[in-house]
Amino acid sequence: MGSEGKLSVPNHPIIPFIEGDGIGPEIWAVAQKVFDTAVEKAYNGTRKIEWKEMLAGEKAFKLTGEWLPAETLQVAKDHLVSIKGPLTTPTGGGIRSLNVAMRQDLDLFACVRPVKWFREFLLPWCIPKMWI
Amino acid sequence: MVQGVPSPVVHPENVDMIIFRENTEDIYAGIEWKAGTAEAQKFEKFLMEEMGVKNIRFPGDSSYGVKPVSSTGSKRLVRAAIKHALEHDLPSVTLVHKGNIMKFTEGGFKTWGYEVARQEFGDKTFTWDEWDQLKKEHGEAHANEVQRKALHDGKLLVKDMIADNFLQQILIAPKDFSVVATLNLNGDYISDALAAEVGGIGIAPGGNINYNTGYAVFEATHGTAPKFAGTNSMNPSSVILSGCMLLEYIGWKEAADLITSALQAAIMRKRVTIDFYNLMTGATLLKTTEFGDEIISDIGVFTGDAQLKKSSSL
Repeated sequence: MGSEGKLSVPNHPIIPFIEGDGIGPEIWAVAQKVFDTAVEKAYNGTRKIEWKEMLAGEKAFKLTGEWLPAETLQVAKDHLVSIKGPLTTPTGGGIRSLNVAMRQDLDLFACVRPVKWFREFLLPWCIPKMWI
Repeated sequence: MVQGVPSPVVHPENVDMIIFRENTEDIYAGIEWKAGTAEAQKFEKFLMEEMGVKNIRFPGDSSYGVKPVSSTGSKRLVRAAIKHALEHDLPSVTLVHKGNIMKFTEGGFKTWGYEVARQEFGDKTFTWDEWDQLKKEHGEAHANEVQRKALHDGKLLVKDMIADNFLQQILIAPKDFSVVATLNLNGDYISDALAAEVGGIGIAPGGNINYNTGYAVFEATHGTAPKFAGTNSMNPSSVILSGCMLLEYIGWKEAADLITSALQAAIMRKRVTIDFYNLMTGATLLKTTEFGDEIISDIGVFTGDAQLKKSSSL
């Protein structure tokens, strides 16, 4: 983070990712290939993201016994910008939602959602009656 | 529902908004007590005896929740929304609130939002707050004229709307809205309602950002769908579009644009995963990995005019 509130981004930034639970790993694998291809094409190979896995959710629990290891939060802070797949909210015993925990610990005060129509996206009210 | 009444939602292409939802306070702070507990009773007693509250309809079996909304929290959120609008040359920021009922929390959000606009971006914005003041002092015609001139000069319009009216207006007149800044709970409803309006449930991207420290976590907005884990059948668009947001956030817009063009092209060709396939006629069903390859094969090949030409020929 620069002095004027602008990010200074190197050509090979390390970006941490959480692949997520359930369908997370398979959609992440596809997405990562898409990102790498786009970056390579856009900048003729001069830029490249160095992906770094962070543990959270079921995978983290199996490997470390913790749903959201302190190290993950530290890595997210060290590298400023990260991306995650969907995470299970652990049930029972006072464990808070992992999504909420990350938002609180990093004080991520703005939840930003762009909403735009892509042509040919399916509109729920166009679904034929027989399907309802 | 009366048959034959035309649906107002005929122009999804007019929906082009970005929601800034406050993420750290409001009733999400989790300060609440269940009816019948000692805590609820104690809180109720405090309200009635020390705060002089007399209008609790059913004392004795009410649950209670506290809704903290601060000047600091509201202002940093609205500041981020205004900055985004200015940086991207967008026409307006709408503050969505329920200040007619919750005067100090939701109403505070509106008041503080206008304060940020006037105090920190006074030379770049025109607010409905100013319009009200001008109308009071010089009449409505004058207020309208000043607003017209300000917008003509390229100033950003900062306006506000009561939440229930807003949820109607996004269906009837989505063109009127661009950047939307709102409190935590309203933002929850609005994000989902708008995603549904454009058919984007399940593929909507999202980012959680602290614009002061720079910390940002972009995320798929759907669930884990454990039943379908390992089936290679689900739509990866939410995490892909979240990645596009990340790329834009770090200033790599060219890469983000390549991806959105390619994703659009795959959808136009109706080569899609099961969720879309089930709702389209004449579509080709792709696995998750095949859908990814479909996008990859288009990246950098069909952009701009070339992509539109290809799409329209189908």
